[in-house]
Amino acid sequence: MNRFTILAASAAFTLANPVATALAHGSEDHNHDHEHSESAAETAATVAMPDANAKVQAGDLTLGAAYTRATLPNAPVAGGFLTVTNDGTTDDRLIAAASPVAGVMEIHEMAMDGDVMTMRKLEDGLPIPAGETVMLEPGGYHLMFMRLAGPLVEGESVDVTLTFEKAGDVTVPLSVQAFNARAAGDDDHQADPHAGH
Amino acid sequence: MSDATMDATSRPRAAASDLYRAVWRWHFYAGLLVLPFLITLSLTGAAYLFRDEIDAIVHADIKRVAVQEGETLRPEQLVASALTSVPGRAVKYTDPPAADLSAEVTVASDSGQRMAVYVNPYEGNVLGARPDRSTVMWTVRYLHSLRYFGPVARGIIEIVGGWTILLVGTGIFLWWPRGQQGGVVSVRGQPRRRIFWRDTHAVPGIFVGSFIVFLAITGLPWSQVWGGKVNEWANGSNFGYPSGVRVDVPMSGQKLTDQAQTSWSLEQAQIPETTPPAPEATPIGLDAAVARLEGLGLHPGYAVVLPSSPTGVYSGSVYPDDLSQQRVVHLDQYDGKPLVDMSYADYGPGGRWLEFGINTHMGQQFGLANQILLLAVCAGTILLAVSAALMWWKRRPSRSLGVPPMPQDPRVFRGLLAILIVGGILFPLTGASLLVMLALDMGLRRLRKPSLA
Ligand SMILES: [Cu+2]
Repeated sequence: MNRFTILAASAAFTLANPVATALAHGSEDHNHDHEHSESAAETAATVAMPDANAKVQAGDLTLGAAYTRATLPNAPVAGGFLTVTNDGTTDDRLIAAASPVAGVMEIHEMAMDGDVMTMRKLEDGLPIPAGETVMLEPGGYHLMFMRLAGPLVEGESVDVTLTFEKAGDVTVPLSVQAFNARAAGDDDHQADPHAGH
Repeated sequence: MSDATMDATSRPRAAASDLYRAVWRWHFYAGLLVLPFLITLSLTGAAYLFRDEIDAIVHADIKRVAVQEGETLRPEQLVASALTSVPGRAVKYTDPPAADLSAEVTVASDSGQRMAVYVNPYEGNVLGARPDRSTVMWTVRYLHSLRYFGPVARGIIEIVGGWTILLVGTGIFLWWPRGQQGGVVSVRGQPRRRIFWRDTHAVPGIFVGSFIVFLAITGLPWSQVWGGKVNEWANGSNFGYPSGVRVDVPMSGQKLTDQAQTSWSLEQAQIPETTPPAPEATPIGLDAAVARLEGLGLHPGYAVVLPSSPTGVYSGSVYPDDLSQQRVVHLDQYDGKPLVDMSYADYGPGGRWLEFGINTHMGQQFGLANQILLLAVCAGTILLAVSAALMWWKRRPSRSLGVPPMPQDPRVFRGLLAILIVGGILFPLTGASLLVMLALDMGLRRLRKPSLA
């Protein structure tokens, strides 16, 4: 069977809309709601999702809800998502990212202006203000895996090393979730009638 | 002071001529009708001449990419990237027309909208997405043709086209030298005098006029009623392909123009069908289709419409500035064989002239010289409109519209009427509007008579 046809067909029937996703989730904070996370794992996990809700500590920063999404056949790029909480009293900044599965990794911002979407590299990195949680999520800030060495397969996990201005380097495992996943261990992506086909 | 004496001071010999008055009167009416449109057409047209340049600047964030050494990614990779950002069904892939431009993937998105997704061909990252045909220059194009304002407005532009030809024709008659000193190729008087504005109107007018007629004629094929009918008549046979093109394959009934931009001559062209595939047949895929199309010599910047059903085809098409590179090739999606292969050379002589005219109208035929010449014509047209308005302002009587006087002997209308009737039949919407204008003119005269008596 032809690769492109599979791609078009699967994309047509199974993908969720990242714009709708961004709107639906707004500023909800899944990360700190432990009970929510557990119930999510029960309902959503038809396959194991390693580390979906694990937290990684790096100085004053807490990284969590780190995930990426399975790539469509032929896709040369993928997005990476997580939340970064700064419990310290000084601002920090995410300035670089790297992964063994990506030849290049960038920090991106997706912005919507009405029907118009643009995606651009954050040349100066992403500020992580003191006392705040910054979410990297579909439709907003994200990590961009580029020059992928191979496809990202659902159920696996990929390591990403993030470089912060103050907290330094920290390696986080990103669980590879379904290509329509909306959040790490999120329960309601299963409510999508097309999911799992 | 009456209109007639005013006229006599500026044109002593012509004042005697009834014909001159009649022509002047209709030049005035035509101008009144089309001047606002000529101004908007000039402004939008001038901008559209530089559409590639302007779109690349205004939409630099999604259109421009840094040129990189080495191969670009495969089309299937770029399409996959686009669908990752904008989930839906990929409809069309457009090759980057230059090394520093992005590839465009048209997606029928799951949210129901047709989106243009711009992808960096070197890295595969999506630069942005917006509703299909929503760039600044698409909007300008729709403003130029009045399509932006719906079908009724598109009918108006057709009337404007016809009246513009009338306007230039009557204008040349009025300009025609009648033994006066100056005002033929030189401008007389000072800006405060009407004759200065008459000459500023007439002298550039004679140079710009022929280009305006050319633009009106080459623009009319795009119009809705006249252009649509002529297109059906000229291109309605052979499934919409020039008569020389071999089309002995099943046709889908779907038109190519609904999926991708086509030339005027191919607006009726249908997308063929592949014969229903054997059960185990597998499509060749976009990468193979693109390789095939490039092997057949399609100019960079081509668009490929993807098959949307088991009997669909890959439709490659390109209409670059160089007319001779116009090409449409439909590939069987299972064996990659060209089902229909049409190039510019296949057009008949009429089609070739028409495409040449349209290509020149769009500023593509002669490169930068073409763009600059038409930009000058746009500027000249605006100058004509402004000088016309000032001329009328300086001549106008205090209480009325200032319509030029009626001829004393209505018989001089006959020759003029004959031309108008023939023109009105050839261009029905213009003809209908002429009848309305004639009726209004007669009504106006009835109203004016008692006051003149
Ligand atoms: Cu990105």
